[in-house]
Parts: sequence; C-alpha cells; structure tokens
Amino acid sequence: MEPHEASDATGSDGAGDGQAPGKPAAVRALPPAPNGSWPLPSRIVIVATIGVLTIGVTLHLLLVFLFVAPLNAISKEYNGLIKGYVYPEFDQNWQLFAPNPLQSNIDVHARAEVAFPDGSRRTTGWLSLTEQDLREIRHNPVPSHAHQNLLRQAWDFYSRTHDVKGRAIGARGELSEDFVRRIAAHRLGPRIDGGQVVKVQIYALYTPIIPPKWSSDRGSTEKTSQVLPWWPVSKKEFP
Amino acid sequence: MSVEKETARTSSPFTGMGTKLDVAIAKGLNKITSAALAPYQAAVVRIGFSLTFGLYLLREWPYRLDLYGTTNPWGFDLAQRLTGSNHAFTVLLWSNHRLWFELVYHGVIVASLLLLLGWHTRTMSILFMVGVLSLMNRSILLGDGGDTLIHLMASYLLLTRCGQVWSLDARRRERTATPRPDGCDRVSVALWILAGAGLALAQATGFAKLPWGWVAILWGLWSVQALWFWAGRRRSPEVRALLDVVANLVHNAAMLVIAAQVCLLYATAGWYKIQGARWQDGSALHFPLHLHYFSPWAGLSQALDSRSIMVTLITYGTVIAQVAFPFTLLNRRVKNVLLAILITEHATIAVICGLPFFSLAMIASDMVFLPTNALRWGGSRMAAARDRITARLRRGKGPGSRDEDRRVTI
Repeated sequence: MEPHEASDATGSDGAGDGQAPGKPAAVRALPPAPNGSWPLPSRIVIVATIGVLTIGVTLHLLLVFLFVAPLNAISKEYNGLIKGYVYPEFDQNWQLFAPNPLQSNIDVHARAEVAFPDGSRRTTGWLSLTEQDLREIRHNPVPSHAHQNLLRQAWDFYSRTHDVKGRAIGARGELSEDFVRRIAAHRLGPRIDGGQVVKVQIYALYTPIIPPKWSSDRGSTEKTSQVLPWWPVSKKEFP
Repeated sequence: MSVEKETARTSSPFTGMGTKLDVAIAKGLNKITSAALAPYQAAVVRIGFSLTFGLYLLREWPYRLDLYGTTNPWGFDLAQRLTGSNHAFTVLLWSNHRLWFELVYHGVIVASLLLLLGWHTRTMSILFMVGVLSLMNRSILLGDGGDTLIHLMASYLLLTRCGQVWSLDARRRERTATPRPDGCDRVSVALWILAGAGLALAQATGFAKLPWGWVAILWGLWSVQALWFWAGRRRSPEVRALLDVVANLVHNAAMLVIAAQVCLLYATAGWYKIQGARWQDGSALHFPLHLHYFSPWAGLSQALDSRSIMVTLITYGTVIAQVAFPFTLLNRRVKNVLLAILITEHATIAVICGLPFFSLAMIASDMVFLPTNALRWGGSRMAAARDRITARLRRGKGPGSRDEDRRVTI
C-alpha cells in the first residue's frame, strides 16, 4: 500500500483528523497530506522515508529492549550487535533500587602519608570523605552532584571493577583505582602541616541498615570494612 | 468449482474487510504524513528537559570545574582512556584548556535557555544535544538516572518538530502575515553559516577530534538545513511540501520512540523490582530512607519510615504503578490517573531523597503522556498568569506597545 493511493481513498477529510479545533496557525499552515497529484519522485521519497523509519524505529526499540532486559537466549546470540549499537550514546540502566535497594551505608575514608623536609614521614588520621559529602547534603533542597554522586559513584565503579580479592578487572578496574585515588588526593590536598603528601590509603566501612522490625528477613547487622593498599601519589594527581 | 459456489452464497464475515483495511491504512498514512502529531507533548519534552538541564547547570555552576572541568578528579587523561575504548562523543576532550571548558559550559546554558524559549528551535536542539552529550560523556560516572534520561531525550528531541507551539518560533510565524519559507530569515542563515564555519574550522585545524560517524551526523544535519533554505529560495511549494512531509514522518517516529523509551524505563524499573525480596515483603522503601546520601531531611525520612503501613503501601504501589504503566496506555482514563500518581511520587522523591533534577526529568517524561487538553489548559493558565504580571508591570511603567503582546500565544 502506497501513501498516494492511500490518500486518494480518504480524500481531504484526513488532514484535520484528531486535531482539536482552534489549534495555532503554525500547525494549520502545514501542507495537506500527499495525494495523487504529487509527482512521482516525491512519492518515492515519501515511501522510502516511511520504510527507513519503520525499520529504524523497530530496530532501535528492539535493540534497546534487549539491552535493558535480563540476559536471554536472543541477547546472548546478538550480544555484539546489541552492545555495539547501544554503547555509548543509548546506554541506560533503569534498575533503580532493584532488584533490591542498597541495604548499607558506605563510608569512604582516606588518610595520607606525609613526607616532611627533615626526612621524617608521618601518617595522618582517617578522614571521612563521605562525611564531608553528607555535611553538604544535609538540609540542602538541591544537593550537588559533587557531593551526592562523585565519590559515591566512583566507589561503586571501583567495587564493580574489582574481584573479591581486590584485584582490578581489566582496564576499567585500573581506571577506577586512578579515579578513587585522585578523589582522595583532591580532598586531602597536596600539603599537610608543611609536608608533602606522598601516599594515600582508602578504607571503606559498610554499615548495614537494620530492616524494619516487622520484616521477616532480618538481614545482617555486622559492619564490614575494606582496606585498600597504600598508593603512591604524584603531583599530577592534585588539582 | 462447487466449493466456490458454496462460499459465494454464504456471506463471509470478512466481506469488505479489504476495503476497510485499505481505508484504515490510508487514514493512518494520511495522519502521519500530514502533520507533526502531538505538538504540545513535543513542546513539553523540549521545555521540560531544557529547563531541567539549564537549572542543573546553574546549580552546579560553583562546582563546574570539579565536575566537568580542569580540576575534575575524573581527569582529562582518565576520560581520554575511557572514551578511547567506548568512543563516546564529547567536545570537551578536544582541549583541556580552561577557556574552552568555560566556553562550552556557558554555551550549553545559553543553548538550554534558547531551546526552552523555542528560539530557532531546530538549531538550538542540535546545540543542546551536542552540549548534553559533551558534558555527560566527559564525566560518565557522575550521572544518575535523571542524567541518563536527559542524555537520551536530548538525542531524540533533535528529530522532533518541538517548536510548533509554545515557542518564539511559533510566535514569529504567527506575527508575520505571510509566513516566510520556513527558517529562511536572516538570523537562521547567520546561525547556519556560523555553525558550518565553526565546525569546518575546528576540523581543518585539527582541533575537533571527531569519529567519522559524528562527522556524518553533524554535516548531515547542516545539509538538511541547507535543503530547507534551498527549497525556500526556489519558492518551490512542491519541494517544501515534500520536506514538510518527511519532517513530519521523522517527528512522528521520534515521538513514538520517546514514548516507547519511557515505557521501557518503567517496565524495567518495575519488573526488576518484582524479583527483589525487599520489594516482595514491602520493606524496600525503608532502606533508601536510611541511606545517608538520599535523606537530606532525616526527620522527614524517619517520620515516613515510622509508619509501617505507609512504607508497605508505597513500596507495593511503586511496583504496581511501574509494572502497569505501559499497559495503562490502552485506557485513557486509567492512564491519566496513573500519571497523576507517578508525577506526585516523583515530586515527593525530589524532596525526600534530595533528587530535584532527577525528579524534574522524570516528570518531564511523564508529561509526554498527558492529554492535549490538559496541556493546553495548563498553557493557557500560564499565559494568563504571565499576561497579568506583564500588565501590572506595564501599568507601573505607563502605556507601551500593548497589542503586540496580546497576540502572543503560549
């Protein structure tokens, strides 16, 4: 079925279909639907456009659907095609607080090893980077991504790209180490008490959120922590 | 032969179906070619997302360098390493110079504002998309769900005719008695020449590091604009009408994708929740209320959390609403009720979880499904409010060119 034939059948009554009366002139000013009087090249262009758009929209929605759906036989088969299409510009993840919401508060701490001009070295106490964020978030109707997302998602990225033994998984894992180290360096600053910060260490404390009394799943109440090795920092890692 | 005779005698339930099908297809094709459908919904997407992103950039202005600029812990080298593997588009990796960053950041604020107002919408929607992608892909790890949604919608918006109503473009079209060939005024041409010259210069000097795909997209869009100018100059109504039909088709396809994208969002958000034990036992809401990063008002969160029945109802309600959303589109009345619930829920999340920009983006995408009447009613109320304010200001200042503004429609 071609559009020019189509329009012949309905005549002119279709042009205003479904439009409320009194729509602005700008909308009304658009030309009438293509009909039999349209030249052949125009009809070919229109048919081609409809074809390309139909295929394009179908493919787009299909690939995005397979991307957001759980891994299945189809998405395994076409894994390369799906990821190749969706990454990077259509990347999306809508598992907001799903399948389960995060059930612990994560506090990321950092400390520094400082080299003094007299050759001595001292280690600072732990500084809670998360507490710095929370001070800015509390009683703030519009928290900044600088406090709500930067460190939180950097740590999430680190956790996702490291195995249980703390080894980096691929190039992303190394990137995440550099990122977390740099955040710590930025927050601690290059100089402390007249000395130069030469190493940083990260420590994360996981405090489980106690489930409500009426929930049958008691969950864990044990605090856990993760201490990363000392990392040397160079000048380029400070702002 | 005898069989054929038999069937000819009984009247088939399919009699006339061919004609009916033809008419239905004809009507459908006529509809999608003759108009850019849902003009108010498209305008809502435009206004909603440009407003959200513009406000976000203004809010982050004091932190812009830490988030996207030169003092970003996600340093230039780290971003380069990641983009080297995923080929995301960002103009911010063309140079690490502070001046370039400031130019881009403030440029995106201006583009957001102008897109919001609908000033040369087609050009602004391109600049807006370039800006959104550039900022977000510079700091990929910074974004939350709201940012992802803005990222997607900015790309889809480009393909819609989102300036048909509630825009300066629409006002200009209405004011001129004989509308000029679309976009053929001096400012449009100047913008087009500027954009082309800028892109050519950036490429010629090697400043722009563009993958070929993006070269094709950007120059393609530029050529499309040239085509409109050419059709306008030639005063060829046939070519203009053809361009209009193609633009309508692209618009309608993009609006379908936008609607489907929102459905996919809710469907995945809902279906994944069903699988979680916490959503099943109705306690899920309890946890975000105790996440320090998402409870700026601890008293408010505790007050809500202390009502176990409320927690369960909201937890179950969220899952039901999200899973049901795509199906409610089949029934207008149910859909509108659900939309009201979802918009209220997002407004609440904005306050309780401290996620105003995420919520604003979600509300903007919910509003795509609002009925045209509701949108027009809202628009006229806002126009009336604006007229009252301007009238009051006028009275203070004395008579001005009043009837010019009375013709404005919003």
